[in-house]
Amino acid sequence: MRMYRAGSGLTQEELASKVNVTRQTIGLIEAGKYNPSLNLCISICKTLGATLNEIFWMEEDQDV
Amino acid sequence: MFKKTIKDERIVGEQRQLNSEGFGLLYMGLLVDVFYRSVIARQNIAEFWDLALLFWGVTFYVAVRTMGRGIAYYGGKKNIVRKVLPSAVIATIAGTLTLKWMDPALTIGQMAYNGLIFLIGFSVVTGLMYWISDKKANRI
Repeated sequence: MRMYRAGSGLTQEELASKVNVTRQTIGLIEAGKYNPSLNLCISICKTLGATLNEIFWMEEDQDV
Repeated sequence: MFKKTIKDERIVGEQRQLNSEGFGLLYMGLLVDVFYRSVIARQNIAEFWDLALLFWGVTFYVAVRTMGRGIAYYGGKKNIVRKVLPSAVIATIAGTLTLKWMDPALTIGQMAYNGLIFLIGFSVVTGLMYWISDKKANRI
């Protein structure tokens, strides 16, 4: 997600503001320390112009 | 201009969890207090009716809401006896022993009679709660 956010030229603060959460929540999602709801995932994907698969799908060898 | 209100699901979730933990602590404290006053200190119920009413009121509220939402899950009709009976037996033993401790003059026969009535009552009420919850759950 960090990659897509950086690619969109958004800071954590800006993305957080667009999806109506705090910067800390975005930071925790990027660090893999918080599992967002499906609604928030969709909101983030729409903001970053990517699909759920692209941002949130993990391959088996990836860490949670 | 009003500042945009942030409704962060993580903060809402953590706040709910904290509230739930706080409720659990208060509830256990209330349980210990009511138990101490009635069983250990043997106070008359008139001396702590407000605490007892609060405890039973909250217990009743949680039970009714749990049934109303259909979340008292017991794993299907076949499991109802397996789910209800162990807790009924433990509650009966604990209740009967507490009664005996409070009133040493109680005979074995009286204890058995009281225990049987309690066991049947507890099982019926708990089973009924699961049954109502199941009915509600099936409507979802």
